[in-house]
Amino acid sequence: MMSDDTNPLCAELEILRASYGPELEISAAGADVTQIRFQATPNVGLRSEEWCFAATELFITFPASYPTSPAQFSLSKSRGLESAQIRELEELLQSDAKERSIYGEVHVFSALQRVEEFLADRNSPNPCPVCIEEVEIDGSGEEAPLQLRPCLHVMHMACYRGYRSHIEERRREKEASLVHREGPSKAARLAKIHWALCPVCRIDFDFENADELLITHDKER
Amino acid sequence: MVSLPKRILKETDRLQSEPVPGISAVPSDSNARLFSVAIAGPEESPYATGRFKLELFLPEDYPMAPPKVRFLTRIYHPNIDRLGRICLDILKDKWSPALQIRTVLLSIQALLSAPNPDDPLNNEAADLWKSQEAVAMQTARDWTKQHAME
Repeated sequence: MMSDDTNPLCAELEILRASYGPELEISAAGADVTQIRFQATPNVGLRSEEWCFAATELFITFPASYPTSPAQFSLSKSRGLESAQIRELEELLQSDAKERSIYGEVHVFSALQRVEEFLADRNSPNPCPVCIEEVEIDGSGEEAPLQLRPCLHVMHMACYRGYRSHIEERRREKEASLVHREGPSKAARLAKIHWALCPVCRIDFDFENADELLITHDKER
Repeated sequence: MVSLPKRILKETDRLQSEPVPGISAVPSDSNARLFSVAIAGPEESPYATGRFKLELFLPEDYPMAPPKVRFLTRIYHPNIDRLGRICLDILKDKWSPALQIRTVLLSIQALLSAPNPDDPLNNEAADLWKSQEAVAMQTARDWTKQHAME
């Protein structure tokens, strides 16, 4: 089936393979079922080394009668998007696919582009959660932006330092208050549970491994 | 006097220029970290038509530490005690510097609409809320009439 040039899905997959790199995985789950996993980031044209403030993973499965029946889309591991935006994007993809399938048009390449454009339109940093000022992506020194890799949220460098030292102080207080009752090692473990959160989304964030989780875009690194 | 952090000035300005419906928060003349707050009781709740006064204080380490908030107006509510202290997770361990005065007051307003008797601060009210909700709501309405109307 894969070698059949007249099959519209095969032809479209060829275009996809030629257009994308490792962010696109095409796999065969069973004889006739193809699925695609696409790690989507904002399409910012030819500019390189751009900051990414919105990303998502797109899963696509194809019915046997594709493209006269629409492909199925689902999003997961979205970062930097609110749940309403994720729903909006899913609905956009489904309604586009449905419309194109009526005319028997292939519609996966256009869906991937649609996702990249959607992310590009929303590719702006959150305000700093600590000082509530805008974060300038070309700021430097204390004002330099610092991004948390797991959730893509940003803070100013100086604001992050203040936040981190406050959290570490709280953890030491907590540990000290527990050490008599629980012993040193358990106290350290219990205290740690409370000290690791992104201020914007509360995702777990372990400062011990912080350096791996931070993106600074500093050319020196 | 230590100068006020820019963040507090910005929040204060925004509370005046883009006020939240049903909520007012005005800094005191003598202390810019102390706010007089009034929250209108949410419609569809036993606190409807009441106007509840609170005080909100921003401690030295705000926004790392949460604001301190308490009701000045007496209120019958399972999560608020007779001293006006409020049991609300974001005022304690769920605080995050990304929250603001505005979001805190909205959460308190939401708490009036949705009491949580499983995490009580006023045990008597919480027990009544769980065993005889209609009676508890009536008590809350009576208290609103008695304490929260001009």
